Amino acid sequence: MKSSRNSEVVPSSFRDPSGFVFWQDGSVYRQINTIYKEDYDHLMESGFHKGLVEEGLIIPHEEVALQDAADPTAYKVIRPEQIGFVSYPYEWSFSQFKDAALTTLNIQKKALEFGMSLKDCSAYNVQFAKGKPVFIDTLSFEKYKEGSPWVAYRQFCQHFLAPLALMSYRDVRLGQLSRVHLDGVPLDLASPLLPFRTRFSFSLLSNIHLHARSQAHYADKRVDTRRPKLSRLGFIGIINSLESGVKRLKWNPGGTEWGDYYQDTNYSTEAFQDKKQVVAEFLEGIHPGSVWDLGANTGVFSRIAADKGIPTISFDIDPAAVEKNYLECRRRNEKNLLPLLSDLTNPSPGIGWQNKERMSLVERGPADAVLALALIHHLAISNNTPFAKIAEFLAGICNSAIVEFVPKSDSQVQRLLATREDIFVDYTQQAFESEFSKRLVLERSQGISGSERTLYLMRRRESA
Amino acid sequence: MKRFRLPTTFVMPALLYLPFHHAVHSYIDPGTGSIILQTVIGGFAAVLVAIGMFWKQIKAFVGNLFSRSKKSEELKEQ
Repeated sequence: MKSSRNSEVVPSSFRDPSGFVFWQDGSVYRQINTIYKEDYDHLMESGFHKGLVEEGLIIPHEEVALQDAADPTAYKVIRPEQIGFVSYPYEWSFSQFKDAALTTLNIQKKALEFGMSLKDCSAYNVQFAKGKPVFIDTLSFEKYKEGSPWVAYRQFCQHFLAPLALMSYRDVRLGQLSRVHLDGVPLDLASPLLPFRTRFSFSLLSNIHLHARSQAHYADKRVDTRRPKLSRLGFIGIINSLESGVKRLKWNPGGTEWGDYYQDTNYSTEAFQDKKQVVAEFLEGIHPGSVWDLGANTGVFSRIAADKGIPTISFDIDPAAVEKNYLECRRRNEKNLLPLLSDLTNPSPGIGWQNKERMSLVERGPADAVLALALIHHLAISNNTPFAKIAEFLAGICNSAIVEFVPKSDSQVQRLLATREDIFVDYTQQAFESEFSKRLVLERSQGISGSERTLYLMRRRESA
Repeated sequence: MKRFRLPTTFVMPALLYLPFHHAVHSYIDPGTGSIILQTVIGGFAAVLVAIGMFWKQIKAFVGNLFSRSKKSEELKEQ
């Protein structure tokens, strides 16, 4: 709970002595400490920051009154443009991750032109705003001293290059390693996991395989790290090698379990159009400020909300679906839609120091409205979740919900039951309505013409 | 290891030039192995970048050679 004049430091912002991020009166601010004065002034006065803002590479900010400072060591306090929804690298699709990496390298290249350099390259320095990756850590820049090696090189390789290479060459699900390893995938883990043919790529050979060997070799040796020199040209060469290495990494989203979902549903065109219409109508009724589409697949229904200008997040468990959704967002230059990877039966937990540095999914809610279309039967049957628990979950993350009930007779449910014993005696429309009514008010319901399914408009009950 | 002592006339002004050490800003551990590796591959990378930078000039130079030899051939034919 944050009281009106109290500031609360954001739990992940404690490592960098240059400053920190804090909440105050519902907004996020960044304090810049006096120790960082020289670098900050150079960043702003050289025109570098302005250039980055113009290209949409960095989050813009305004300077605010110093009385807003949380701390007496403040030089300045800035209020960055607020990010609608904070997401983390283990929630990104392959291309989102790749775009975040290329954005970081692009910024580092430009920084050198202005005599600056990134002193950290954490994947958490990038967020998605208006559909695009944007750098958020204004304090990451330091003045470049010709000859000094890149302090952030290790972090870039671990946070970006290693996970991307693993996703591309081995399995896209290895992106989840970012959740376990807070400071990026260790290179001595990535190197043996990658196939031998990656040693034929100069970029992966040097930046991952040799890098891992070098780390292991010098692990217990004392070396004066101030003496080794890296020329400016060498620096640029390394960045170019990282960039070409990242650019060449590819992943084809075709052919995973849900990627081709809409090709094999049992919806007639009529039923599909009717469903879209009813969802649109219900949304008009709610007029929500934000929407989470759970089990959104490629975002067909998310776009009904997003196209109305409502900031929408598409969550799906399938990396291919999220990837296809994001590629479509990029192609259409969509500003209101953010596709993300999420397993609703095991959503992102809080991680990091005291499990508070990175927020759990639920902590980043609630959404004003949630879409749970063609979802409940998966949770109820595939995950054996009782209706009561599903209702409790939904009521905890939204104010309103548009929920689709799919009866057992529907072919999609029959498919789920095909290989298992039907123990779901309580999976009936009546039981569904009864259990959900305990947590949510069932305001409206409408059958989808041409199908046996029903759409419900629900509102969370105010607790007594 | 031989000890090399700087004459004091050099040390004092040198201290003035000692850059305000930015290690205080570089708060993350860069990793010894990572630093050493950079300086090694940086050496190769620098050569490649230099060639890349001069490539246009190399191409232009070679292109000029050919166009000059063409011109002199045309003049001979006239």
